[in-house]
Amino acid sequence: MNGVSRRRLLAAAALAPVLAACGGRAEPEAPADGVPRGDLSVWLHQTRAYDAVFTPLVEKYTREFREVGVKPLYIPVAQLDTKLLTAFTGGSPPDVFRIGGWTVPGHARKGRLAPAEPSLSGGYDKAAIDSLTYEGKVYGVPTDYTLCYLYYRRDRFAEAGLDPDKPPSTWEEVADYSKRLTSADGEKVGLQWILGNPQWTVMQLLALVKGKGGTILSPDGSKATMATDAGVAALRFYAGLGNAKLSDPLSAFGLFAGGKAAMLVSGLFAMDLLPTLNKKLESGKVYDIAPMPRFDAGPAVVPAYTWGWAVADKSEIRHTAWHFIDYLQRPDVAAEQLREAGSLTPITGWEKLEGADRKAIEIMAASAPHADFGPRTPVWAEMAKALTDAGDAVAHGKKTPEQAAQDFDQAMRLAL
Amino acid sequence: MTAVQLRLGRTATLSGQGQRRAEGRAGGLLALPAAIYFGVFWLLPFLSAAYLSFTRYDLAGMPEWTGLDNYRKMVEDPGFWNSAQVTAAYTAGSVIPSIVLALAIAVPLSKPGRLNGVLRGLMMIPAVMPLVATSVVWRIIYADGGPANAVLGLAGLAPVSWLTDDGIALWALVIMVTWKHLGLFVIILTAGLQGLPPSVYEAAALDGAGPVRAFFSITVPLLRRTLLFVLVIAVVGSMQAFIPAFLLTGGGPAGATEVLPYYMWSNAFAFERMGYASAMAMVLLALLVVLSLVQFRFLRGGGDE
Repeated sequence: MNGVSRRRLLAAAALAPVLAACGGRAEPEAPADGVPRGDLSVWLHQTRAYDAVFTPLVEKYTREFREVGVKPLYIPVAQLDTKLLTAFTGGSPPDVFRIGGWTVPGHARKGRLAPAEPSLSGGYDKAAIDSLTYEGKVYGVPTDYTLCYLYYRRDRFAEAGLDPDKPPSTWEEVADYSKRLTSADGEKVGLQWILGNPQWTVMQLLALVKGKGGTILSPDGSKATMATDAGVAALRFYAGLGNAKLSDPLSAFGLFAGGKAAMLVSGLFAMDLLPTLNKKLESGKVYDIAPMPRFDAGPAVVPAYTWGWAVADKSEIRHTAWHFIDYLQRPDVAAEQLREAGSLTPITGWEKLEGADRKAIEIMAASAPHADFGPRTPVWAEMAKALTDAGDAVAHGKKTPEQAAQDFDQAMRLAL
Repeated sequence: MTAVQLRLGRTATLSGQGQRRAEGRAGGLLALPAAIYFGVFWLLPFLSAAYLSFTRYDLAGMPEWTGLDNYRKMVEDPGFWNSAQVTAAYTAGSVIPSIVLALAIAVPLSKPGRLNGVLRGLMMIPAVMPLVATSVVWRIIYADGGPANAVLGLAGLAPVSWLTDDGIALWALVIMVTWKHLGLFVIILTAGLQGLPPSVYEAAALDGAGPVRAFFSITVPLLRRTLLFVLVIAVVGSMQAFIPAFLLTGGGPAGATEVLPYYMWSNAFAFERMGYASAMAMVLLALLVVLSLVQFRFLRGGGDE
């Protein structure tokens, strides 16, 4: 046997699967006939409105492409990231999953995501695609895209003697209106921030910090920059609005729905959410939306985010996975998603999609040039947590803005 | 010379040394399942965590050895110190009232009687409820306009924001876990009390000791070992508490309920810093061992054996 003993041959045979598992894995090739086939596992967060669109779509897709099976797994949005992380760590991620654009750098840096097929990433809003890009590679296609609005209660404005047709357009006006909308006992307030929620804290403080001319992290993401005049001023403004002690299981959304809060910063999805919390909430009558405020003489900053459909790097049927995603993103499906679920797929020309509240789309289209997706950092979760700690601490009066800003910068020094 | 039944059914006569060897082998075999369980489910994870605590491991690739960096980082990390303080307050706040209340309830319930038997059974209901279900129930209790505020209203007090007021949220969790664990502690203490010899109480009564004197001079000293057991499981349970903070407050508001296990979880599964989380786990383990030893040191002796 040319010098190779039987024992060595057996050992090599025994080790082969182990070595194969440890070694680099060849990228799965697309089938020669281009026909999608295989069983796709799909993880997404569940909303009742989106299910009504997604479930029939899956049935239609599997009828059309009979060699594909789709197994969706609906996961509560708060648990999706953790479940994905444990699946990645355990080496058994789903083929297709929904992912927040803000988590893409962290996962992409660790090689967990498959780059999007070039043909897929062309027909989308550039800002949305950019938010799913890391180091020049696109790792997903956008879905459920939103820019922030100022939601306000017309009824509360009228009660306070404010004109419901003239919502505040600057943060200074928001502060002034809030004073007039706040009851003596503090049980009713003007603007109520969404506290304790990392994603919303980042978006709310992003608008304030950048509006004051500062940043949360330095442009290269290497250090935190909250302990600056702009950062401290933003935290001071943040602490001055709302009542941190007001309680509702759905946070500021519940307080707004119940009328305790007269203003709220939120995205497009809230237009569908709010009537489910209070049937009386009718857009244009009981509540309304307005563009995000800006500081007097400050730049316009409109916080934005997008979810995306992504494919695991470990998926053995990537071609099928991207084929299915492409099917979900067709313009007719995008229109249906917007109409039925209030979920905007930012395909090119999304401004003309029919079915959603026209005013909401027009405000979004006008705000789009100022869309800001926040710091793009692989340590986004730590940054968001540290910023939430800072925001909550000043809102509860536990720390001064200066101290909270310094603590944020210190926490980020350890993380970055 | 002793007859020992061997595996194949043969009977052999062995010397004392041979018998000891055979018994040792049999004992080893009998202990093997427990040893495997211990090794796989305790020792290996412990050694893994101990190793990871000296590494930088972000759940991708291989852990990178960093020596004592994670431990140094802990000293500088304000989040760690905040969660350590919260854990200390949570442990003291839940353990002391739980044990005092449990003892106060167990003394009358340990007396014979059908009603006492029923009451002991009822006391166990919260203890057997899953903690997740309990947390959901208490979320409703603590809601604005919920039963907790209704009780305050009956007492003429203003409603409070139980879970969103940073000065109250931790105590809201303490009330919930005290309610949850009280029944278990009552049952353990009741068993201990029922095992105390009646003759000692009879002698004390003859000497003129009243119920209060008997309680402090006889019951408490004789119950030391049971109290030690309850104290150890209460402290260990409180310092490892994760679910109430995770489900009711998410560690908030403003970090007011961010107990150490929750902070560890955040680091491991939200920030993907498994090495740092493992270092915190090692510190928590060391702290629990030291605390348990101190409790044994001060409460052992005497006893209700």
